[in-house]
Amino acid sequence: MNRFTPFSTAPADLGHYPEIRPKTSYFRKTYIAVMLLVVGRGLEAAARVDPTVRRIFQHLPDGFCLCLGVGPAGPWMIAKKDKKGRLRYLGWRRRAARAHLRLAIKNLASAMRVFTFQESTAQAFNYDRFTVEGSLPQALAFMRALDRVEVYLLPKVIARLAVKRYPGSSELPGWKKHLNRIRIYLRAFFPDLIRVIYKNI
Amino acid sequence: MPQFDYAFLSHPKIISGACSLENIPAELAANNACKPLIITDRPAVAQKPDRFLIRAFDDSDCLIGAVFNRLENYAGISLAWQAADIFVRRGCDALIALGGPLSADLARAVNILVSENTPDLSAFFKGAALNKKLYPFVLVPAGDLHGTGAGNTLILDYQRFCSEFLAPDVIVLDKRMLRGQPAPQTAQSAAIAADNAWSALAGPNPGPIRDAFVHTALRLLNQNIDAALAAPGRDKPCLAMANAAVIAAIAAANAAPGIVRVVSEELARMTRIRRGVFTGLLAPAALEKSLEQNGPPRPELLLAVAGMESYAATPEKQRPARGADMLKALFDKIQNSLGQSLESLQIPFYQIRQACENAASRPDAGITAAEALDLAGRAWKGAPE
Repeated sequence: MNRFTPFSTAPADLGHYPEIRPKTSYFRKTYIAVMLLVVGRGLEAAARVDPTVRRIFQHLPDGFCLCLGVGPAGPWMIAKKDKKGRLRYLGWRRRAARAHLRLAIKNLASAMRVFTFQESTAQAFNYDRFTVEGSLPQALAFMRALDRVEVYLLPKVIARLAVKRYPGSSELPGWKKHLNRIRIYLRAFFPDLIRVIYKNI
Repeated sequence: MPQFDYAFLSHPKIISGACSLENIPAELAANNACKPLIITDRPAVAQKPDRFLIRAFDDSDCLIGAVFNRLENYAGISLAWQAADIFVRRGCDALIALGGPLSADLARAVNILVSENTPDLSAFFKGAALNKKLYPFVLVPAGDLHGTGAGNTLILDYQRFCSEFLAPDVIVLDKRMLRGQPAPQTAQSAAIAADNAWSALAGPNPGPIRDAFVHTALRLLNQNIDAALAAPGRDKPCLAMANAAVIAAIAAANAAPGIVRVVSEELARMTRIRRGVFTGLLAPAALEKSLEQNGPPRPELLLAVAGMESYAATPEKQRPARGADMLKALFDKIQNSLGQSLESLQIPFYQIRQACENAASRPDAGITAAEALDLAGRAWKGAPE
């Protein structure tokens, strides 16, 4: 079938209408990648330190693998629940494991809004910025865990913007929050970080 | 009494707000497309909104086939052939119309040409049906905010083809696309949107969903018209107006065209003056005439225009009249912003008469030439000095 025939009466000069290849913003990608690394390591640490996060991940099946990132080309964050029931951050390579739950922000601009805390994760869900492949209840449970981790990782002024509801002092006393924050930061950045980076390079 | 014998189709997915342009690649991917052809009209892209659209594809898998920007003030079949030629030779699989109704019309024409693989659209203008599935079509309104492109009608070379498959698949409303419009142009857009809403509300066979669309459109228009006219560059009122216009256009696409729309389209065609000007001038007269002939409107009009508090505070018997008064005030506000009258346009009478006769001869109109002339006469007399 020759599909060119019908319109050949008015051929257009293709030179005037060039193809446009989309550019890549390496700065934004790097920023999101770093944020996902911090969040991933923070999740792993918080799953050991904070009882609320631990409880959320206890309800997930063993070997459960989740993937959070930005579509279509990343960056990504992969985490998996190991045989001992602990959450492990596996790195940024999507092929590291087969994900049971994949949460993708639709584009890098939306991801920037989420990770620069102009929008909370709940708002971003509301604005249809995420695509979810997998179980929606598990995705929402993960988002609750993510909110909790952001409370620990971020100062209160910023965390208020990033989470749906900042926990009150009766729910999370100040001393406990600061103590857990120190423990999470220590666990996130020191012992295993080099292992993760080494495995992903 | 509410009527439940109705049909209503709202096909497009509307994406509005921050980062909505950046959602286009994901929406195209959801429609199995990855290489769009962008069709723009030059007046609409004078403020360079096409740069924002191209930038929105950054970091995506989509390759932009081409940006066809030869459209000026007239959409014709020769341009559609050229764009279709580019579409086919570049292997595109989706269409994005950026700008006003002309670019939407051209994109629709190209879509039919390449989907049906035919160089001739005359069969469709004579009433033939579309046989093949059309390519994904994304509409990005820019410049004019009157949302006419959101409907399901193709107008090419002054011929019309209406099909529910011609409605866009996705409509993207982004504040970056709506900046920089002068106040008269905003008023023209508001006039078309308000007339679309009113004709959908007052038209035959109303239904609850059409009413819901109309109510939302009228409420958004009434709440934001002052801010949008006072400062046309402000993002929030402009975005609200664009939303209202698109919603009203979808409602109007599900109703018979009103007398103002038909007459103003024919006048615009005859005189080459923008349609929004005529709509703004004719709409108050048409409302007045409708109230004289059909009596007060339904009381829900007040709820739509003024909101819940005013509706609840008004006694039940006064609601229809008060609703009509508020709608008339909205139309008058728009008319005053236009700063013109039908008389000041200095159109020869024979052109007005010819336009009215043309309007009456349209198969979708359902009006007589005398009615159209009467409307023009009222607008002439009632226009501000």
